[in-house]
This record gives sequence, structure tokens and C-alpha cells, in this order.
Amino acid sequence: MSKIQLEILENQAHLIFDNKESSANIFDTDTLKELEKHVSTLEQNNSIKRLYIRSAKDSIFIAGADIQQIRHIESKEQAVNAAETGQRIFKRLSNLKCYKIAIIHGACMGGGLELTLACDARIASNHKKTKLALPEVKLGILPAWGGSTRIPKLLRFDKALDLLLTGKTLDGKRALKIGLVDACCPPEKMLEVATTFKVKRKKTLMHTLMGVGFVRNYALKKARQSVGRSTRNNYPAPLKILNHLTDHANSPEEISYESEARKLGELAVSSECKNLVQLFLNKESADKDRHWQDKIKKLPDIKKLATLGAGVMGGGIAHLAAKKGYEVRMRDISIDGLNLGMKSASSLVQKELKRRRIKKFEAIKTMSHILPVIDITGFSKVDAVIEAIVENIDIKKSALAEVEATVDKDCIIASNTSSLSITEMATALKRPENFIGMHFFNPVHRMPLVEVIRGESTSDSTVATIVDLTQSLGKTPVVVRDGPGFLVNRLLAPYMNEALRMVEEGLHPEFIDEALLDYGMPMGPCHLVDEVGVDVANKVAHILKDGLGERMKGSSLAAELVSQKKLGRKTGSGFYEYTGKTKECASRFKNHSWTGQTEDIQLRCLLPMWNEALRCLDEKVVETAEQLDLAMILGTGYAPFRGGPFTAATTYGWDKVLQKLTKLSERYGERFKAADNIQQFIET
Amino acid sequence: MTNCVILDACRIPFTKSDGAYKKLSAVDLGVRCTTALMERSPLPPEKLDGLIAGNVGSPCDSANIARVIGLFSNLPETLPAHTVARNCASGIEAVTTAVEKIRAGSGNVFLAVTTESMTQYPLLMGPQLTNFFKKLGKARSLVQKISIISSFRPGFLTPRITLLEGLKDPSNGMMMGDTADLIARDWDISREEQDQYALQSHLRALEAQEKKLFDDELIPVFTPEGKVISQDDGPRQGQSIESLRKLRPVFDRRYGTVTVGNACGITDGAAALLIASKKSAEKNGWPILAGIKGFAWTGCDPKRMGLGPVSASTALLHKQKLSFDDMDVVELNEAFSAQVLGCLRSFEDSKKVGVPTIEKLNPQGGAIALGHPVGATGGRMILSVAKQLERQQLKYGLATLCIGGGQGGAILLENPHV
Repeated sequence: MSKIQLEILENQAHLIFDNKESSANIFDTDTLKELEKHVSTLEQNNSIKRLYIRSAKDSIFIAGADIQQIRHIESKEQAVNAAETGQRIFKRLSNLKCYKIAIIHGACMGGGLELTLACDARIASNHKKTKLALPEVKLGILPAWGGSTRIPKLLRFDKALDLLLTGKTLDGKRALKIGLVDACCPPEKMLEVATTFKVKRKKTLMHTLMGVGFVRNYALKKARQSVGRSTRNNYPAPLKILNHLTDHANSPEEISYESEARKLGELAVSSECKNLVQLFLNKESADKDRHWQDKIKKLPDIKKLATLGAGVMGGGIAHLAAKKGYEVRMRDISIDGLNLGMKSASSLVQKELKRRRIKKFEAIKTMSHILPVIDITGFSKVDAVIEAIVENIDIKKSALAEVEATVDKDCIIASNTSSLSITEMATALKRPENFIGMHFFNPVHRMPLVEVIRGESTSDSTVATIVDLTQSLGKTPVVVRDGPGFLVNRLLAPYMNEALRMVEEGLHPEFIDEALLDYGMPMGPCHLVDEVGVDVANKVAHILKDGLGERMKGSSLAAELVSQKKLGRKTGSGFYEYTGKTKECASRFKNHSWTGQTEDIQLRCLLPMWNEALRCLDEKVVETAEQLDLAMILGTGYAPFRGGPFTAATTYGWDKVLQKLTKLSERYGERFKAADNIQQFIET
Repeated sequence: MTNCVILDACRIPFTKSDGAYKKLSAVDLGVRCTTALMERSPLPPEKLDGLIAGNVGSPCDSANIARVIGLFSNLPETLPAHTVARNCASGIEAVTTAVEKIRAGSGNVFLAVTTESMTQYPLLMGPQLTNFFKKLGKARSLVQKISIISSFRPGFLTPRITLLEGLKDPSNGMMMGDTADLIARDWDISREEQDQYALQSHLRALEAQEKKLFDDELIPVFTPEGKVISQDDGPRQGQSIESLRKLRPVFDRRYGTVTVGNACGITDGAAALLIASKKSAEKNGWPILAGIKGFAWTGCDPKRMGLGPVSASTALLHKQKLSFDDMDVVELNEAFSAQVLGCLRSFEDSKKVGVPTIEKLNPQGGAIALGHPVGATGGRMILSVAKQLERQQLKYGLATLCIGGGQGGAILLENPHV
């Protein structure tokens, strides 16, 4: 089936990307082949003066290369070949004598954007669906179809660096501002503008200055430092991009292309790339998955929400929903409680306004969608309620029962609890089939994961409704079974427990944290305990011990700190001392030792998590290992380039895992005993 | 004539200008009331036939403030909206316009929102400065630009203070306070009487706050600075007659009696009310707060605008064949003590509809303590009358205001459950 149409009328030609088999245009091998064929045709035709390249899709220009094909690259040569193919075809396109204009409306990413860079001019629409980016770095590779060569030549050097290293997305207006596109106009006007458009590019003084040798080198140095700081050099892609720019920003084209291709070869076979691509696919699958919704005859239309509790979570959830256009009643039992929620929502909105991410009217609209109330009579009009009050089962039960009596019989009630049983809470309700867990992560506006927790009585319809709501709110749902700690906290707890035990045994908290930061975690475990709250971590450990057994027992150090009211950041000190923006090791631990191997510290924390992951899969807490990995990466930031706990353990080798666990259980006790199902993973 | 009722109403606390609400516009204040009222109302927003806003100091970025409030209040795009103004009585005007529309058959339910931010009244460039910038904008050559720039005089910078200009009657050049001083002279109302009346307003308001009598009118406001405002901040704890006596007259420094102490405060505030035909309320089972029995608008001498309530109440009560003896609650806006006392003397003098007793007149204090956000006051007064009738199971309540420019407005409410 054809993916590109070539239409020739007199001296104008149109290359229209329209994949009939999909709603998206993607540069898979077939599409590339077809493009090459059309380019050949165009090379033969001398009468064409102007070539327009556009898409027939509603909201996609070309969304990039085929991610599945990147996934299946097995050798360096394969990757180099793929790079060279694209480079060759785009080069031939750019050598065509006619004036080539790309008409960009919708998503124009990666290879799609690289195609337009081979044109003489680019026109983008000012529509909100139009997005331009080179996100290859996020997948562990780099633009290798000429993008890494053409971008530094086209844009001011620092802008080029930014685009390539962060993979950030630009809308039409911003793209015009940095010179990535040459015009930005309403979608209906694009063709008209394109027929007479002739680009006039003027280099500003800043642009020239940025290209000067020592300025460029300085920018590269700064970028390298920044990448080092934020990634601890765990991600090879940004480093290779920097190397390429350092060595080849001024090289002849051919050399630069060859560098691109070579680096693609090195990166595409790396485990980092494989894992990032898998993460991308897993997330996309969870975001777009409709198999729950398809089970239900008629999905309820959710327009009005309510949150119970206006604390950090309640306020954050209310803000999230209000921003997406839902009418949200935010309820608290006290005015000061409501003020807390309103303050957190208001400060989020004001920050976005200051950063020019939103306009004033959007700020007013978001805030006016949040209705702070003490009285719940208005809840009779609500379609779903999300409870986010204090973690106390009796208080929750009574509040939920009170709400159930006011809401419509079809209204869904969800709890944001992080540790209490959904099934147990449902016993307080008359319609337990409409009750479910909807566990957001802190802070709500930044963490993409929502654990959708199915209680024993929760109906399919309720699961489908909440999965749908989660996706509509822009979050990624992972459905898990009700159980202590659900999934994420259950896996996080033993990891944190070991870290605290090591502190108890005399290791320095910073030493432990550094080890895990080096591993690729976003925050060290001791710091994490402080941020979560030592009391919270302690309480969760208790609940997990009661529900799952001795292996989940928390460290006595945590209990001690709680009794001393050293709860972490919220009291100013825990494992660290917090003053303003600075963090210093707490005096009590200052003299702890720094002896030990980094890898041993890492494994000591990670092995119990990996072990617990096996149990979660065995007990079908979550359906698949991919979802388990996805949940841990999105919910805790588990080193994404390692693919998540299950993938990381598989890479390490389950046989080695068993060996290490056995050794550790000999030394430290039962809690390190391997999960019963470990053998089946050793065999595969 | 179609009977109209108030289904429900609420207001935000009134605060002194340039204070708690300084970052909030009249739109923000109005939206807060509207969203809170509709949140708790059993009435679905699709049933509204119109939104009418009463506002005086129209913010220049929100032309037809009613529409802007409507668009930010989660109400349907299809809801028509318009803004009315009748100076200090713009709030009552919004309600009576709704009543007239219902009586005319233009709809069954209307949302009236009364709002004012006197803090955000702008300073304007005077005509000389405006002219200067206009010419500068048109200048093309460097020579032209230099020539225009050199024509600049520091005097151009004198701004027009819209707040002050708004409180001056252009037809006679008198500030509102000057008209009060005139009434004080006409009726021989002493400085001491005015100060005593002012003190009473504060004491009554403070007592009402203590007894939580405003709680069923108020909804809290959460400001962008992170503060929650749940009470009016006008009433002064420890207001004393001594401190009032110490104040110097502000409009006529030598011979006047009107001071900032015995005049209403410059304030920000808002209120919202749902007005419907009695028939549609009963048909849909919507609870009724109060019935609107009638209203009247009259014109009077602009130099003595403070006596507006006299002609308006007289006209209204006369038409209804009632007198002040039949009224259980009377809210007469306290623009100035002198003006309130002047009205009382005038009622006594004319003997046409009786006189409100001191007990029933502004029993919970008035604008001297609570403030007078000009476009919003009418909403507050109507809400206050309705709630007092409901709480105390009384029958009739009258709200009446004087209007800058020489008008009076009066509205009569009745408790349908008594």
C-alpha cells in the first residue's frame, strides 16, 4: 500500500505523506523506499520549479522513524546502514534543482524533521498540534539522517545544542523564533504562502558570535558539565552528540555524515538504547491502551470531579484535573485545610505563568475550575470522587461512607491511599463495585504514573472508567491488584530498608546515596526516606510487615529517628539536615564509614527489590513484567536506561541474583531468601 | 404580574481597598461568588436565561464584565450576559433588571452578580500626556521625534485619579461628601450625632460578627498571596467616640462635619444572587430564600443625592400600601451618617410612610463599618435583608440606597415561609 503520493501539475510537484494503513506517518523502510522512488522520478523531471512536501494527516506531519525497527537493530552495521540509507535519500532530495518547501502541520519529529531540513524552506502552522523536535537523545540515539549535521549549520550554536541534547519540543511560533522554520501561519494559509515563498535568512550578530571557535568550545564545555551533572554520564547518547559536535561542527559534510552513522551504530546496539526504546513503547502502550474501555458497553462521561482532602495530594490532583478542563470540587473539613490546597494549586499556576508556559486567561480558567467547599451537598452532581485524606482507615471509611450517601449511584469513588487496603475500605460502602484505588505519586504535576488498584469487589466498568480518566488526565495507568504496598511501594520498601540497615551498620548515608545515584537512581535512598518522611516510611514498613511477613520489617534506626521527631525534610532533619536549600549529613552520622565497594552497596539495596518483583509477578499483582518495569520507572524514576528492576535483574543474570541472594541470606538472614519462582527465570 | 423570588445568594467578605483583595480584579471577585453559588445550587447551569452584572468601575480589559465573569465561571457559552450601572445602586439594578426580564417573559431564571474592585480603579494619563504619546507614535523622522520629545513638560505627568473623579458629580462639581455636608446643614445634623451613628454602625457590625450572623451569607476567598479571607475586615475593634471626634472634616476642612470616620469606607467586594419566577421555582422544586414584592427608582436633587432613599421608599411603600411600621428590617445604605440621619429626619417630617425605628434600621451595621464597594453593595444589602427575615422568621424587609447624581432606589422583600 502506498505511503506517499507524488502529484505533478505543470511545474509544481506535491509529495504527500499519507499512510493509508495508519493514522500516523512513520518513516519505516517501506516509506523510505517509496520516497527514494519518488525522488528518482523528480530527478528526471526538469520542468518542476517548486516541490511541496506535506502530509494528508490531521495532526501528524511525520512522527519520526519506526521505533519498532530501531528496536530490532541487532548489529552496528545494520544501524550504520540504516543511517546511510536515510542520509543518501535526503541528500538526493536536497540536490534537486527545484525549490523545496516543507509544509509542516502536526507532529514533526525525528526523521520527519530531518527530512524537512533537507528542504530549502520550512513553513509551520501555528496550530497547537504542530510540534517539532529531535527526540532521538531520549531514545538513546542521535539524529543520524543528516540532522546532527544540518542543525548546527542552520541554528545558532547554543540553540542547536539545546535541541539535540534535550530533545525538547517546539511549537510553530518558537520554532520560527529560533530559525528552525522560516514562517509560521494558520494551517489554511500554508499552501498559499508556500506558492510564492522565498526564504531570506539573516544571521544575527549573536548567531555569528556563537559560531566563533572559543565561544563554541565554551558552550560545549558547559553542556558537557551539565550533562555530567544531570546524568552522571550514565547516558551515552548525549555524550556522543557532544563528541560529534566537538569534532565535526566545522567538518565537511561527508565526514560529518559518516560520524553520525558511526555513532548511531555504537548507540543503537547499546543496552541503554534498547531499554529506553522499550520504555517508550511500554509507556505509549499504556497511554493508548483501550482494552479495558473496549470491554464496557457504555463508558460514563466524566466531567465533574471531586477531591476529598485539600492537602498536598488533594490540591495537586485538583490542579491537574482543573488544568485539563474538569470542574473539580475540592473539599476539606477546615478552611485552613482548603487554603493549603488552593495555595499549592495557585503557586503551580503562577509558576507556569511566570515561565510563560501558560497565558493569563488560562491561569484564571484553571483556578476557577477548582471549587473549594466545606459542605458536600454539591457532590450530588459529581461523576467521580478521589479521596486523599489522612492515612487512617477508620477516618477514611467514615468519610467515604458519608460521600457515598450524597453522590449519584453511578458515581465512582476512588482512594489515593498509598498503603491501606482497597478491599477493606470497600466494606464500609453500599456499592463496593464502584470503589477503586487511584494512587497518584508526589508531586502530582510531575510524576506520570497512576497505580489503578483493583479491589476484590471492583467491577470491570469501574476499572475501565478510571483507566480512561487517568489517560484523559495525561497520566499513565498501570492496573495492579489490591495488596500491601500495591506494587511500587512494595518494591521500594525493601530497597529503602536495606539502605537504612547499612546506615545502622555504620555506613555513611552519603556513601550509600552516592552509590545509588551512580547506579542511575534520581535520588539516593536515605535522601528519599527524608523526603517521603521517616515516619511515613516507618509506617509503610509496618503495614508491609503485617501483610507480607518479616522480610519487610523496617530498620530500627527509622523507628528511633521517629521517636526523636527527626522525620526528615518536614522537621528539618532526619538522615540529613536541611537548612533552606542546603543539605548536609546529620551530625549523628557524620563519622560513619566510607568503606566498601559501590557495587556491593548497590546490589544490597537492589536485590531485595528485584526479588520482590518476582513475587509480585508470581502473585499477579501486576499483569506483565513490562508493566512492572514501567510502573517503577514512572513512579520512582528507577534508572530508565536500565529498563526497570525486572529488566535490570535479567541483564544482571537471574542465576547471579540467586547466588548473591543466597550469600546475603547466609550473612544477614531470612529476608534475603530467594522468591519461589526464581528458577523459571533462571531457565529462560 | 409575575411573582419573582430569590432562590439563593452568597457574598464574599468585604475588605478595605488596597488590602486583602488588591491582586484580585472585579472579575475574579465576581467569578468567586458565581462559581460558589452555582456549585451548591440544585439548578443546572443550562437552565439560566441570562447573567446580569452590576458594576461601576468597569475594568478596561473586561468590557461587559458580565460576559467575562460568565466565561470564567464554567457556565455555558450560550448564556447571554450584560452589565448594568446605576452608580451606587448598580447591585440592586442587576436584580431589578432580572425581575423586569422575568416579568417581560424574557426568561425564567437569571444570575445577578454584583462586583466592585475600587483598589484596581486605574490612574489615567491626562489629555496632554495622551496627546504627547499619540504625536510621538505618529512621528517618523528623527527630527520630528526630537521635536516632539522636547515639547514634553513635567506637568503632563499629572494623572487623572479615576476614583476621585468617579465620586464627583459632574453636573454640579460636588463630591459625594459635599452633598452630605449640605444635608447636614439643611437638617441641622451635628457632628456629634454623625459620629455617634458611625460608632453604632461599627458596634452593631462587630456584634453581628461575634454572633456569627454573617456566616450564612459569606463564602471564603483564597487570595493569590495564600491567605484565606473569611470575615469582613471593615468593622473596627475598639472603635471609640473619642477617636471619631478627633478626625478632621475631609470635604470642607473648615466648616464641614463629614469625616472619614462617619462616612462609608472605600472597599472591594462582590455578591451573587439567583433570581427566578416563583412558578419555575415551584415547578422545579428549587428552594426559595425570599420573595421580591416590588421596587422603585426615583430621581431627586443631585446636590442632595443622600436623600434618594426618601423618595424611593416613599414611592415603593405607597404603591404597596404599606408603611415603615409594616417593615421588620430596613437596610438604608450608610453612605454617610449625615445622609442616613437626614433621611430619618425627612421621613419624620413628611409623615407619608412613617419612620424606621433605630432598632430595625441597619441592625447588623452598615456601610460605615462594612464598606461600600459601589457596584456590589446592593447585592449585599438584598442578601442581608433576606437572611435576616429567614433567620428571625420575619415578614417584610426593605433595602434602599441613595445614588450619586441624585437618585434613590428601594426594593421590598418578603419571607414566603411566614
